[in-house]
Amino acid sequence: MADTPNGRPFGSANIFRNDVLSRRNFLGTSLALGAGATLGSWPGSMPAQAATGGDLMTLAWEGFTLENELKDWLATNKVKLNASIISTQDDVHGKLIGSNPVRLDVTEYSQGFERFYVDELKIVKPLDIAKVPNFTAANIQPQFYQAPTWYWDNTYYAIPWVWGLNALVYNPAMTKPIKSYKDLLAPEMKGKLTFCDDTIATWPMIARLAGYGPKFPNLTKEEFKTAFNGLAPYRDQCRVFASSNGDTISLFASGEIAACFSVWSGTPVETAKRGVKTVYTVPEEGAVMWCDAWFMPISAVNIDTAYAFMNEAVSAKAQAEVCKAVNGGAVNKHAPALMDKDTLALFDYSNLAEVFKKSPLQGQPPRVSDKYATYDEWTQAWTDFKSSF
Amino acid sequence: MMNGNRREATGLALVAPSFLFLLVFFIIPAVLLFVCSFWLAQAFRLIPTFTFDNYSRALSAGGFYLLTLNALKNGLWTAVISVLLSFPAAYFIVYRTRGNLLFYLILVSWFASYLVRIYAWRTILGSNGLINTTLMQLGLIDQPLEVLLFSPFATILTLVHIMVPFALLLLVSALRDVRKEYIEAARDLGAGGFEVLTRVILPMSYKGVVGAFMFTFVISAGDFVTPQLLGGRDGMTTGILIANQFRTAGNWPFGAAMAFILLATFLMTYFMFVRLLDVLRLAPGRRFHD
Amino acid sequence: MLRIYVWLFVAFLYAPIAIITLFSFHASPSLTFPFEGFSLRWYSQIFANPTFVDSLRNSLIVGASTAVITTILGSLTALGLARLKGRVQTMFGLLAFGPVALPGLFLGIALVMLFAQISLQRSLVTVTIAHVLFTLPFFIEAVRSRIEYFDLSLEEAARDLGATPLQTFRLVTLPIIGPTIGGAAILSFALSFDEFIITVFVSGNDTTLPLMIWSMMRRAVSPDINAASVLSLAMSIGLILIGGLLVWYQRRLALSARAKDTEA
Repeated sequence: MADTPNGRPFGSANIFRNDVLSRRNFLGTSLALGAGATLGSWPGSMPAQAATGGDLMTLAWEGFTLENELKDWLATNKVKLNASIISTQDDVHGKLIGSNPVRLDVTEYSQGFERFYVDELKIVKPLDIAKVPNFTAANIQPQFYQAPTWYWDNTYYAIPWVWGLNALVYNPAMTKPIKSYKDLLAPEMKGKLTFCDDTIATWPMIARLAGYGPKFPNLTKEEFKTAFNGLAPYRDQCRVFASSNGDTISLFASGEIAACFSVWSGTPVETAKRGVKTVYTVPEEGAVMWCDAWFMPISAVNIDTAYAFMNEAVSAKAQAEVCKAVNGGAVNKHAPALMDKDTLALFDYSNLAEVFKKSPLQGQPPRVSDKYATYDEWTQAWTDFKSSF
Repeated sequence: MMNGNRREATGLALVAPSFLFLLVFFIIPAVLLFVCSFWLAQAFRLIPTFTFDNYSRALSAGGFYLLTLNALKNGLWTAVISVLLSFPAAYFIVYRTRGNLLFYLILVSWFASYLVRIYAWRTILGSNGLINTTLMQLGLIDQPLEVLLFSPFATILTLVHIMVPFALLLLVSALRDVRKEYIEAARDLGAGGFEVLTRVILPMSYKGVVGAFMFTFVISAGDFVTPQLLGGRDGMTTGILIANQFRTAGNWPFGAAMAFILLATFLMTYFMFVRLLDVLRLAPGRRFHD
Repeated sequence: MLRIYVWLFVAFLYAPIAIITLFSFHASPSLTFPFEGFSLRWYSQIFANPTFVDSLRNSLIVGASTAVITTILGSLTALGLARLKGRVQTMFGLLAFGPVALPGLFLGIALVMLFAQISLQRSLVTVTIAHVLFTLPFFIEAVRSRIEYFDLSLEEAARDLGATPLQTFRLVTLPIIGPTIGGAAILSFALSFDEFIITVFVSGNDTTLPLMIWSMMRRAVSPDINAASVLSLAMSIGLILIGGLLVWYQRRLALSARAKDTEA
């Protein structure tokens, strides 16, 4: 298939040549100018601020905005944080592609989106790491520091800051202990299983069950087919597909399900608050790691403040606090020392290498490929799986 | 009497602002995306060409039919039930009450967040929910009724709950045109209750009934969030496929093609429904058209 | 009989709202029975959340602007359509149905493309445009069935008696179509207040309440979403009451003015 001539997708030519997301020549310059002048405000027309302070536009998950954790820092530096909220990773690139991206100074991606965002959508600004002095080998856990999910070609593209596991979660009152995925196929589990509709959590496990774990995210089309065929028996056990982590938690809390295929490791903490004990387990097949990283989009304006914000986000104190708030894991080596008992107990910080071995940080299927099953094909197969054909 | 041409000119002038608004913000973008539905794309990159690939791809996938069938079922059931449920209430509001308090009371119920209401229904219908717990305490059942939740029943119940105030609004405004005098006149001429309903009220409030049916149908058939959260593992609808293409896969042309196919099935449903009312002689005769 | 039915009908509509309200005061984070006692913790938690306050404000701004714009555009259209019987009316009705018949996602993408073409930066303005587009069909449909048999000769009689067009509208037309317009305006507000599928695409760096609730639900469903919903319900009812009182007051003024005219 032909690619767009060059440059960012949706950003180059006019509609008659290619591109419906650029603004040239479409409705006539006069109308465009008129509408722009009266209704719109260009992010680019604002003067860049030279020092920390002023408005900081961020886009993050609810609970991950750092509004509370960085309250003092925001006040001291007179930063007015305007955090808008995403509900899927798709919302992030939805705001940034095209010729009129929304002004955002900092936002985040989860692992797997790096090449897509940097190379294909071209919505990421490379970072000047000197402006993030907390992000050093001395402070950051080695597994995260220069991982290929945000660092390549000697360039830093994002700052990883919070992580966790996606693992098998079950309710011990409703099922015997689960040690392997095969236990989910027991007859008494029928109608008691759920899948969380989170592809980052689920796809690597689908590959792993078929024995292609290390190959993920690059499975040939044949392997990919085999992997999904192997998943059919699990569907027969399934009662409902949970639309998100939160949905899975409420399904556990209301006693509708006994186990979830692969879901956020913070789930047991949340169900416990609702009076239902669940446990997360890394079964013999392993589990999946996720990690969110801050990046600076091409539409960033308040650049110095954005750097300062990222720098604060990886400070030991902020890390310990946010990990407590969201049941997450810290990337800063000195954060565990500041954590309370429960937050510290979430992960084995003393042996992170082992955690990584059983639950690696894996990327996502390629967007375009002749050899491997593409992201499109995975999405399609996953939808087909959810809707039973 | 006002001159007919002048009346028409005034009419056009009054309609013009809405028309302009729809032209700029609906017709032009929709045409853009219609053109786009004959293009190809991959991961948010558009490839201009002219091909029917997107349409044939959608129509050749078995899943598309299955999910569209689910969507149409949700839509039809919701529309039929909503109209049937709200008609008597609308009748009551128009002919038996004087103020508008009850009317507004019903409309205001729409302000409870739709997403939060979905979870409220879970609290009511769940295995440990209000209904199951009550029935079990009364000793009427000894196992929770699992069919209440994560089933087409739960989806349609919730969609009806969401759509009913709107159906009611349309029916109330239509019934207000059928003045009491007409009904009394029909009664005086010897018409029974059923005849008054089918010969006077329904033909005169025809537009409202069709409107209520179509809006509830289209909105609930297009919804994919409620079926996902309440419909159980076999409850998904076409909307999710379109969402995948628009949001995740970045294949807008394909998503647009599916949206247009869905639109075509909606239009077909509309014509079939109107035809059905015609056959049942519930549609107005010629005299109401002009 | 009918009266009992109607009260059952209202009970059906309000049962989930009663549940939402009840659980917004729940002492535990669970949304499941048994109910474990009352607490105000979710209200204090939600008010301490700066994103909630911002997004509630954004939603109220967008909802109110949408209702006002839709009501103006929609009422003009209704009056126009009453004069354009027949084919033009049918055509316009079908056209106005379009934005509802196409999936919300489709409208979202279509508008994002348009906004890029005319370099309109995404903000609450674009969200309002999208919401007007989405609510206008509902509004037009609601008033269309009302004006289908609207008797234009009443307006004409008023004009013949020397009333200005504005007076005619206020004294003759509005009292007839008023309650329908009021109802439709409330629904426009409600539709806008709840919309999140189109909003995801057309919003800039402002979050609206449904976007926030959706995101909260994805992390963990707690009674704080109930508290958010109850608060927004209360706010909306408050706004509607204020709007209703203003309309009522205006009508009283109009009526007393008319009474004076007849005295003179």
